[in-house]
Amino acid sequence: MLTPLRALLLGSTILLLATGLTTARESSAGSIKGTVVLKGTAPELKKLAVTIDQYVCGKEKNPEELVVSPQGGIRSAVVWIEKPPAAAAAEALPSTAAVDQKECTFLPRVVIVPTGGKIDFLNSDRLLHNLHATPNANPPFNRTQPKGRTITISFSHPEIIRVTCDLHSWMRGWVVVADHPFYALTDGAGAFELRGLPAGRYTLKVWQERLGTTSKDVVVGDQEPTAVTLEMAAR
Amino acid sequence: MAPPVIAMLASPLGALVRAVARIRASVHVKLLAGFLLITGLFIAMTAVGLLLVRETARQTDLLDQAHERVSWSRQIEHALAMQMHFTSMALLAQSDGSVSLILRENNRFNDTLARLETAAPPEERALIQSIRGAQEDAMATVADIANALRDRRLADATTALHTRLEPTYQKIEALVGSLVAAEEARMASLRSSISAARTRSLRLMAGFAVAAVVVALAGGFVISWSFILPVREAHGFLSDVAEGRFGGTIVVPNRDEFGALAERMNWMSRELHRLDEEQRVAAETLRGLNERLALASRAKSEFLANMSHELRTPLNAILGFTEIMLDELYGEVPAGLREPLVDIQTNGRHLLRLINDVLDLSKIEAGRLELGVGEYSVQEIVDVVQSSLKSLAFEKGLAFNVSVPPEIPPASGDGRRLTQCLLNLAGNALKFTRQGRVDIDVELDDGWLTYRVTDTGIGIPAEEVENIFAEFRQVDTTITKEYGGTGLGLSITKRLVEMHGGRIGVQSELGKGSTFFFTVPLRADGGVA
Repeated sequence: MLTPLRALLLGSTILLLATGLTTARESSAGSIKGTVVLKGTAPELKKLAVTIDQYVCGKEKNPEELVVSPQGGIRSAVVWIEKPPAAAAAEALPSTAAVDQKECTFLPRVVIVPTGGKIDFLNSDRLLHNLHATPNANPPFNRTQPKGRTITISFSHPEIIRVTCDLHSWMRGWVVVADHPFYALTDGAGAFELRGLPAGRYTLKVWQERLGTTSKDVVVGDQEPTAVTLEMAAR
Repeated sequence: MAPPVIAMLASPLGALVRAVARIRASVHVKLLAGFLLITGLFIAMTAVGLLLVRETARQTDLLDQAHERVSWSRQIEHALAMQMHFTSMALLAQSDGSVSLILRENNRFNDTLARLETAAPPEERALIQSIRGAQEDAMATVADIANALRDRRLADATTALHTRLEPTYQKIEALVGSLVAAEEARMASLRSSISAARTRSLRLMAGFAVAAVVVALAGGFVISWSFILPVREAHGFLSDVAEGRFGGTIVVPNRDEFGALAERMNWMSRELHRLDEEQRVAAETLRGLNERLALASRAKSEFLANMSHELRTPLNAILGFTEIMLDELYGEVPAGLREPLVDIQTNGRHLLRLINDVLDLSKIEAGRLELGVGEYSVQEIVDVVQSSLKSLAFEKGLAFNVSVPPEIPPASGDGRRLTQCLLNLAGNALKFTRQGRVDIDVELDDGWLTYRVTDTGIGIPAEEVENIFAEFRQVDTTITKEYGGTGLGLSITKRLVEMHGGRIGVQSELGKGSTFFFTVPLRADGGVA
């Protein structure tokens, strides 16, 4: 994946040099800077009581299925462009991601990998975890994992996969397999950025594990980053 | 003192009593020190008791902890057995559910081990670390077996079970077994040390209690007797003083307030002794003087009595001859001589009365007058007085009445002398009353007779009332000139009344009159002089 992308970048540079100003204007990519916000009041989420393995996992867990900043920004939402431009000079997503299991929590909770990418699942806890997922397109996996062992899993088809632990019911992780580079994960304030987009009209899609999927059309200009606010209705 | 106290005072405790007495500190300080000593003992006892209780509680806690650890170790053993069981089951059943059970048990084992590790005493950490190491091997093996089962690699799973898991479990079991043994040994030693501590604390508390009581009793004895001994000494000393034995000294070992008190007492004793001696000497001197004085007085009285008697004889002769002359037994008295003869008679009588009075007084003072005690009639006395003075009253134009209650029984006493007394008082009253009245009345009250003479005369000034019964006293010398009288009457009356065991008195108001009275027993026996 890395090598073709470099080739593409090289090609673009050559094209830029050859066509002069017009070409340069066309290829000077735009970007989207936006925020995913919650519309309406955040639902009251109860703390999850931990009844087993308290010495490692603690007595209770914060509910992380919807984390909203004081300004309403939603954390760990995934934003992407529905139909990516054919020739885009976007930076490729890293092909390997790491997810740790610490104090019986997946860290990070949501991770994006490109198609064909891999995730190294690590167990830092001094007990057994059991990775379990039954995706639609990708092969399912169900592996027991002692402390310190890393299990690497590859994903070859784009989809959103829920990962659980058979031994600790509250553990939830999400793997988003992306088929193009225009995917972004919101930070704690709900902010995201998509770079390297040619000017044009796009449909933005946003997914959050609790709130589902929403979409919005945006027009991206040449120069300035396009500001966009994606609202997700509380439900 | 009770015998036990004497015995105790003779013992070393007695020496301690004296030692405490000799301490140069105030009673207050000593009492306070004693009190503080006992309080301190009780505080110490309480503190030691609390420490013992705390120590016992700590050991009990340790025992509880050890007990808990043993129970966790047993849980580990159980989890281990269950894992083995479930692993075998999973190999048979090859279902995902049975695999989860193995994993669940393994995690339970981990959790309990973590608790145990936190609670374990330092010397067991190494053992627990070994268990932990073996458990991590077991964890990896269990994961491998679980994954092999899911991958349908039954042979691999069985091999792993036999070659890796079982030896690891045996190792863990042995380690947990030695852990349990160590904890049980610890519990046993804790139990015996708790029981030993209990016995020790019981003995210690009993010892403390006994010591506190003994010290309190001994301290109380020593301090109280260090105060009681000087007080007893002082008591004996004061009894001596009260009985008039001065000059004694007390010796007390005390250097406190009691010591100071003893010193003062000794000083007081010396002073008393000195004063007593002085007084004794003075009294001796006085007694001598008094005797000489009495002798002199008696000599004087005797002289006067003799003198009066000697004087009376010629005077009686003079009066007798004058009377005979006035009665014209020697023939008719010439008119020019009658008046001088009457004067001679009057003055002679006056002189005789004077001499009689002096004679009476002298007799009384010389102790030679004796009462002629016998039955007498009060009515008679009053009648005699009335008839003697009736003419005088009539001459002066004064009312003169007497009243005697008819129920008065015959009285006992010297009737003649009592008549003299009443005559004196009534005569005085008539003498000193120019107008108005003089009354005599008698009253019997509870065995006492009161003769009372009331006049409307000149009265007596308050400041003179005291002196009126003294010899040769009249209120004013001028009065003697105007009213006559020897000035001895009241004095003699007083003596006579007192010889009867009675008393004399007067109530008077200047210019308005006086009431003289004397009170004598109805039955005077005359023995009272």
